[in-house]
Amino acid sequence: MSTTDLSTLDSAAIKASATLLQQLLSEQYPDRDLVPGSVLNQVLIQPNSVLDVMNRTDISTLQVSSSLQAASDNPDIADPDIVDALMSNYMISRTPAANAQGQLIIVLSNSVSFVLSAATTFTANGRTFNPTSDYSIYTNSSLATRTTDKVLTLRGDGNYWFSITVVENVAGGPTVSQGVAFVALPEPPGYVESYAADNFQSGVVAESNADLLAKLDEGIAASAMADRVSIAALVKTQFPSITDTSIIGYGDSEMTRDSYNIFGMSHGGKYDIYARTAATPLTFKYTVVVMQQSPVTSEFLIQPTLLPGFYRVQKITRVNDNGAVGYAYSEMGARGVYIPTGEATPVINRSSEAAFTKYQGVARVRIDDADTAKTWTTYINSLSDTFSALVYTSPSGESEILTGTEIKASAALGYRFYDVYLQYLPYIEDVQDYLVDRNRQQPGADIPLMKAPVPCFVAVDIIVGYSGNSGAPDTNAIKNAIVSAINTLPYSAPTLQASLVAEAVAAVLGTTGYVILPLTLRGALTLPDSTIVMLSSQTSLDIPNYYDLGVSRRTVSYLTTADDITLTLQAVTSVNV
Amino acid sequence: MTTDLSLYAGNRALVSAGLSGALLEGPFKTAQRFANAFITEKGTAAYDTDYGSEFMTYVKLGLIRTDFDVVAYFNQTSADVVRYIKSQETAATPSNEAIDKVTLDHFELELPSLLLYATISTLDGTTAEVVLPISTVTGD
Repeated sequence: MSTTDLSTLDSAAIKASATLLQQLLSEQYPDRDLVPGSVLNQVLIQPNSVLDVMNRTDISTLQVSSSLQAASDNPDIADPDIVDALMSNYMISRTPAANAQGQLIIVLSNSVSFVLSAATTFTANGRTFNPTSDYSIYTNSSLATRTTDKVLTLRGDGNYWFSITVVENVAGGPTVSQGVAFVALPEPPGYVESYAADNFQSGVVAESNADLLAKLDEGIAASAMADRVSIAALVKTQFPSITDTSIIGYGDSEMTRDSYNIFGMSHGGKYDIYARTAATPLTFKYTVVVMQQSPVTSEFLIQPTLLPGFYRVQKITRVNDNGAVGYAYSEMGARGVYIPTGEATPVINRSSEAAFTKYQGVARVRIDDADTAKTWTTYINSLSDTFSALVYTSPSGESEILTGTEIKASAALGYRFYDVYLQYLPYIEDVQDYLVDRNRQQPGADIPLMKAPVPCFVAVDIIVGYSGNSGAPDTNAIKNAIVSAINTLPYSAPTLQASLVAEAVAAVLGTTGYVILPLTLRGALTLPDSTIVMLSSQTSLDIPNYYDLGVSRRTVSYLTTADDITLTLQAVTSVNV
Repeated sequence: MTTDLSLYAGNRALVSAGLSGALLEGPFKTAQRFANAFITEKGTAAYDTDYGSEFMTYVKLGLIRTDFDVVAYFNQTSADVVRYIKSQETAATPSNEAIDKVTLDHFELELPSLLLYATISTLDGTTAEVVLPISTVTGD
């Protein structure tokens, strides 16, 4: 905390201190010449005035840092170490920076042992990741004895694969969705491809003093289901990935669950917790097997327990066809309500109240697959006899578990294998289970209902101009900045302004470019009854109210990904002056 | 009257360790103050950019080439130093310490130094002489 560089001290303050010291010492020692320019002034007064100002500066920093009010007024000046110590009195700690990391699958065409260096880079969407250590890759499992030893496994297509852990080279990056392809440099021997095995753990930006002080209300709040601040503090402490909460209760227009009585009046006792459990929506990929149910369509069910509270089907492709555009699909009807047996559940009266919660019911999805040019014979023949999968056999959702042997034997029935990508926010079920704990419940109220925010999926069309002399800007950095700006917009923000997007882009571009207005914001507001309301604006996306469905700005979150940003670069001829 | 420490041993050299401790007063103190300021390049003193003279700057820039240059630049820069010293004086400054003017008596080139012989006059007419050794070697 103390000053370590005297050159940073204020010269005017040093002069003033020297004048004061000269005056004071002259009175004490009237026969000493202490005037500026004298030897005594230069060897005594000047050095002492420097030390005096240094001490005053350190004291001032301490004063600014050790008071909550002063630190809040001057968060940039306050010493971080002192603020940490101050906030520890309220059991609040600064979230350290963390790098995004996750499992990466690497596919090779050859079965050969080698060492994968930690210096190898894997890049995706402008972000760079490295293996967490050197990995030894073996063809013989008996040689793999350490956690950094990996064994090549044969795939059904004749290639080999292994997985490693990679970590981003900078802190604070968002998650990487399952299936995102990476580019390796240098490429391992026989390299085919690499992709994210699962959604990466997102990174964390180190909290500033301002961020830390903003947590004070929740830190000093009692971690109990008492009021909105306390409830937010409770769930955020237990689930640090929660970025924002909005609690709807008695008297709120969005509350529908407390008015099911003969009078149709709200009687209180119920509340919904809308928690944004991750800044960026995640993607979950899994394989669905269906028996051909018509020449071009097949239907399958997404059971409630597969991914509780998921938002939507994002894409359906042929199995293992990473990067494919995908087939057309549609969701058939409302998802209904799922009430698990043997556990306490909140009161839920209709499917729209269960949407985006643990109690969201079955989703029925129809795939339109008129791709008669492709056959499934080769894939079916590559199945091992021990392969086992749940196969949907009829539009009504009938299913049975079949083995590879059975599928190959009855291949004429037309089995099809699809990769289904679901978009979701995590921990919906975990937070609900945490709230159900009897010791945590408010004795005078029903079990709270944990909900993912009603989603408004945002797409942005933006044009960026840049001087041809400065070179094209980094498109990935621009997209990431837009994604971050939109995904961190809290419930308290009244609307999504186009200026927010423009400012985020301007911060990245600096003087190398500019946003060519207007830009277009498009939103797909997905209501709890599965209705999609399309929004579009060049100024702001405003959320309309559907109180009977519990929809308002207080329950809706804007969500976007880099794939939803259409960025066009436009070179502009410089003016010769 | 106030006293100050003496920095010089009387032979144009700084006092040696163990042989210091002499005090100065009156016009000799004023002469020392002028000498220190004159041979300090203006702007190099930490936290007091007004202290010093630009004579050393002109030497480093190679602007002092002729006898005329020596006289002209001395008169110009010494006046600046006199102004600085006067700005530090108060009503309590004794008349035999308050600087009046500085006169360049003569100068000699004693390589690698240029020796300036100057007389510092105080308000009460008393004087003190100084020899200002100006190094003409701009090196490391």
